[in-house]
Amino acid sequence: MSAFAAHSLEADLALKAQARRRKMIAGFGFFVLVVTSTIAVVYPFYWMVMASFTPEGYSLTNAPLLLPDRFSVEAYQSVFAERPLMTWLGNTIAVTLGGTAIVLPAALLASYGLNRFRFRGRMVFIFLVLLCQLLPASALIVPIFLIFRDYKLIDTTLGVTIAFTTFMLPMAIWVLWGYIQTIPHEFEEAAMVDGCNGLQAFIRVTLPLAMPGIAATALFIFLEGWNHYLLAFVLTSDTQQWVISLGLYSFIGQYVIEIEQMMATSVIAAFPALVVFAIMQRYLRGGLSLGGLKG
Amino acid sequence: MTYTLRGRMIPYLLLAPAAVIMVLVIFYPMVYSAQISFTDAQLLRFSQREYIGLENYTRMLNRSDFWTSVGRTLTYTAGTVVISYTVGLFVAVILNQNFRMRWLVRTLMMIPWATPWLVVTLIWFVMFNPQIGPINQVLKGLGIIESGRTWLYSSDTAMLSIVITTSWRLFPAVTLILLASLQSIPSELYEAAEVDGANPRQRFLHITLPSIRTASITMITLLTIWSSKLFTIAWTLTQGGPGDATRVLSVYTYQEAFTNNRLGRGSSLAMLSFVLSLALVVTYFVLLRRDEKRVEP
Amino acid sequence: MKRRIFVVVALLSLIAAFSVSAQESPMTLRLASWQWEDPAYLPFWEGTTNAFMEANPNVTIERFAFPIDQLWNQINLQVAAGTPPELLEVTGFNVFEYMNLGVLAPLNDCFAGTDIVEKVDGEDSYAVDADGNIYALNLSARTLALWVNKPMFDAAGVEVPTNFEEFKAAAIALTNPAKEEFGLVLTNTAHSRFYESVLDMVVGYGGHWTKDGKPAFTEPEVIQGVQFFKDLFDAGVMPIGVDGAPSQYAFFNSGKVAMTIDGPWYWAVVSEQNPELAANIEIHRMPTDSGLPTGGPNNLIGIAAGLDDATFAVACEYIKSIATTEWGQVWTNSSGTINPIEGAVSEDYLIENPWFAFYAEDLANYVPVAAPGLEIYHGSLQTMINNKLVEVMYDDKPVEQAMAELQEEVEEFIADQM
Repeated sequence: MSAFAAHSLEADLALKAQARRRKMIAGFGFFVLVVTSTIAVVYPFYWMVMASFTPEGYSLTNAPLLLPDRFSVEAYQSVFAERPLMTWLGNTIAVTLGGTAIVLPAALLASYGLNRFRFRGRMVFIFLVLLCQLLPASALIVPIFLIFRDYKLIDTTLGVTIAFTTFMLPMAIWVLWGYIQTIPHEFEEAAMVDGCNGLQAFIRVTLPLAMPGIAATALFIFLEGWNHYLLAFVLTSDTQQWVISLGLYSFIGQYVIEIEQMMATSVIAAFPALVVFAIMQRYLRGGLSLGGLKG
Repeated sequence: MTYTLRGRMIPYLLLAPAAVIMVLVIFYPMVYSAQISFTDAQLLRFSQREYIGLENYTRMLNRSDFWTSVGRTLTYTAGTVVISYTVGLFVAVILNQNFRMRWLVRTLMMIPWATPWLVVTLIWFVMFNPQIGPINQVLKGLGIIESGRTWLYSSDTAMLSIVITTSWRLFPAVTLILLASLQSIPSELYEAAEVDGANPRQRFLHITLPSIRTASITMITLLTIWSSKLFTIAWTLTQGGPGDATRVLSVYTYQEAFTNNRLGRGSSLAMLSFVLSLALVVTYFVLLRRDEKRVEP
Repeated sequence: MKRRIFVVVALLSLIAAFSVSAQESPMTLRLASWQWEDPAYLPFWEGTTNAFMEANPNVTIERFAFPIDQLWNQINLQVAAGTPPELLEVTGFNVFEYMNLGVLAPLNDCFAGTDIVEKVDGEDSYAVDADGNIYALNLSARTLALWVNKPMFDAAGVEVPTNFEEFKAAAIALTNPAKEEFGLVLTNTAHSRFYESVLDMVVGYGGHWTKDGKPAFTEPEVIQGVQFFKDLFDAGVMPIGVDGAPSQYAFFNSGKVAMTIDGPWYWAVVSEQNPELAANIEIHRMPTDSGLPTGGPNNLIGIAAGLDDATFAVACEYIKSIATTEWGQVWTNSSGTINPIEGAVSEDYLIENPWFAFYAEDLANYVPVAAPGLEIYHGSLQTMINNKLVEVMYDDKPVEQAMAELQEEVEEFIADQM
């Protein structure tokens, strides 16, 4: 009995050590994987950041791999001094948040309706959502300009915000619909058995469960809006109304491109978007567990 | 009676806000554009346009460069969808593990998405530059190639180059949505599978993949739509060249409508490109319906 | 009687009031230009518009400002909507298309009774159609020339080339891969500068893309010119993948490239980024057999078609007000490019900038950049030509075959326009 126990303990220890070793190797392998893939993805952006810290005209002939041998912050100084960068950022934030605020509730209602009800015209609606996104943008430039001009929406924040909903809404419905579909009906039904009505069940049960999907969708349309260029270009001719993606073009002159300044501006422009993502990403944590259904 | 009527109205009320936006702001310009495609409109003489029926369409369908362009679009779309989906899934699976500083890696992986398209093209101009570009430097350093490649400028690598650039910019969208979906898989499923002795590969195939099926279809559809009409990359990096190696439909449309000033013809190309994307999307759609029928008896 | 006087007085005062209000009624003109943010041209645009607004207090001139690549799309949208900016700055390339499609109004009536036409150098200084109507006033003419990094030539003991043979020999002699030195830098990817660089060689053999107004890509001069560029490209004397002015500048500014071909505006760039090099630069004739530069009107200004008479009259007054020697000097002095009005290149300016003299003299010799006879299709032609040239350089497509394909493509394109 005792021999058996000792043997078992020894074997157990050996087994544990082996498992630990395997786990360590696996952990190290995973670490290498994470680091290399992150480097591969981030490198082009890193290069841009690096270029933004070099003296004017430097990065075009000396494309250093890792570090430049000359360093300068003049690009950052001059973009703040020479361009209404803060106005552009403010406009970008206004139209992107505005668009997200209009689109998200509408998309949430629509995708809930599409998922929880079977009704005539349902597939037609889904199909139309897809249709909305299919026409190449260059064909929409002239119609959108003429229509928005008729409604005096050129050079207004409202105009650009409305225009942004045109690409945000179909995307948001499409993504959210797919997500809510994966949440089992049973949760809501259980809540309804407990005395909730349909809407209450939706708000109390499905919404929290759908949080990762809603957060992802919000981030999704926010990032798409943040860098959207074409509609903003069509609808604004006043520099003061530009969004940042339009402002970037102002560094392209007839004979020169102020590439360092352009890189500096896009570093500045990417920053708020990334901060929003860094904060929002914790909502991507899953709230769903089978225990929830039982309890 | 009233109750059921109200009950029946509910889904329509839920859809109403979205429908209003779609009809007012999206369909109106689309219909306008379709209308232009049946005219001989020139951009600079827009008010003098006249209806010419299907002439733009018949002319375009009879041109060999239109069909070449369709082929280029399909290659570009297929390449972009495959690469961005694969990379996006790979990264999402990594980011779904628990590890220290995960929030940071997640944020870093979103960087391409936060980069404006114009800047994406400028960065990749440098990356691919045959003389000074990091890609050639690294590949030469690793001994993979002997002499520098002229990525964007040779017919055999131009398409690959713009597909890589596009995928770099698009894959984080896939990662984000798949990640949200992966996070919703109840951990009990994995635990149960582990108890049953399933190895990681089996767990991936039998739990992970089926659970992200819907999200995958969503993203593949979006990627298809995006890349089949994406204009900036092919236009800025290669201007549709060398020759017509990267002249996808969106570039062809822009050239006709704006460079060549023939808005009517450009619009007809856009409508044809619309039909092409539609054909691709309907394929997914059919898959989707079959899927739903299986789910609901 | 009293009553009649009253009526007359009332009528007179009404007329007076009306005419005063007509004169004083506020009017806003938009002036579209891509140079509103450019310090090299701002003294001219700000100076002329402020002076004009001061002299005409009822008139406001607003900026319609976009970077050059977007400006045309914005103007085109406004034209399509029937509300073009009243004053349009255009380039020597798109002026023909705008003229041809009726975007610009004829200026003959506006210039009638002035000496503007005599004062502006040469008939190419306006956009003139077949009927002799003037559509735009030229503000700047340009040519290209050979820029030489003299210390590199001296170190290698090489003379400045004066023909194709010497050009190639010098480029090869000055290239040193070990030191990352190149004999020459020219744009060689799909870009307007690529079109121009290759055209420079074609013009060097005495040809152009067209002959008698028809596409002539298979003519021997064109083939020779393209082949010469291809030989230079293959000889490794120039960095490859140079994608436009900024990278071309960056290479030459670095001091490790012996030759480049550029216009007078480059002076400001190089003296700012590498003053040491700028002090040692020489500017020479094109190193080709004909020695002719490409060039022509570069920036022009016109009035949008379809304005009412009063607006046209004010726009016309503005254009007349800027067509003076005084403003011409402002243009030349601040931008370093040649305003073609009499006396715009002042003695003082030449003394201060001796390098400029070559450009001022060579201006008379230029061969136009846009293919003669097909100017209205310049944008479309340039895209087609560039894409074919990229195939020649990077895919090694034989020049004769490529040019035959291009000939066919362009002929088809033109037939399609009819």
